[in-house]
Amino acid sequence: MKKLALILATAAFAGCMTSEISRTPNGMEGDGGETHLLMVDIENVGWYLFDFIPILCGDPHHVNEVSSVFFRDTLTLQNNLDELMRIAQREGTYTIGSMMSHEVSESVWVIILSRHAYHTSATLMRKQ
Amino acid sequence: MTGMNNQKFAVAVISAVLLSGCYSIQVARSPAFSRCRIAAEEDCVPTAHMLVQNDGWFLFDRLPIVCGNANTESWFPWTFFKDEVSMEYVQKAIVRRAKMRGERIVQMNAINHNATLMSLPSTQGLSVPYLICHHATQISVVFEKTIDSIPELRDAAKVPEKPAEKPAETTEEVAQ
Repeated sequence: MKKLALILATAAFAGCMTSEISRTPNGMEGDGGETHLLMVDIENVGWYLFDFIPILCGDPHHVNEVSSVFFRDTLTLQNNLDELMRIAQREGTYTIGSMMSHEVSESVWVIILSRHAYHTSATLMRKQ
Repeated sequence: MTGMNNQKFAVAVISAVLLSGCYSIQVARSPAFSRCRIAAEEDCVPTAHMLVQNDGWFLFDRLPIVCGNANTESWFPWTFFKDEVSMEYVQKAIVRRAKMRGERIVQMNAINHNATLMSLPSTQGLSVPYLICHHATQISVVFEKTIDSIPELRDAAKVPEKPAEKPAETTEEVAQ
């Protein structure tokens, strides 16, 4: 029973790729005459053994779904950029501002089990 | 008994290697990204997004033990007793790439993170502040090129020349 609970808990907190969008109501004017439309934050999470062997990582083809891939490292800047471009195309915005990426790492039992998360955030704008 | 000591030694060596610092560079580019524009940069197109990071372990938060080797020409991935976890070292790779490819750097952001509450196995879960600390520095940038430096875009951006219109007479000319 304990093993089953552990497996379910692991599955629930497993790697996941998500994108969070914050919309600016009626747009907001930027410095260069652009209208700010969206703020996007893309997060891809993965669990690693000894800090470099991937166990479970977010599935870049199933964003915002609890979907993971096993033993494959999908925590790359390329996957985050591709997702950002998918959002930009979907929203019809082709001007990018305040773009940045960073990695957050946490470890359990020194480094036996570690959790990494790649974040990419940007403001998507439209030229007036 | 000797076997037990060997096991402990192996665990210690593996832990030391795995715990050590790491210098990493990630570059992402895509055709869709190159079709976008960076805000307030009208005459440029983005070519790539880059994240460079370095991290290392410090004794008492000040004395570097082992850090990732920021010198990419060296084959050895670590430096010992030398602090290379600083923005100056991390920035080198970015500037080198920009110079080599004739690109401009925009949207430069840095994040420094220090973990000072490290719980070690021997302390039974109790964190000892500032004993062993982990420092990490990350810089992310966007590289861009001017439209004039890319022949395909320069040609596409060319507007067919209109015949020059005769300028309207100024009031001064009329007065004369």
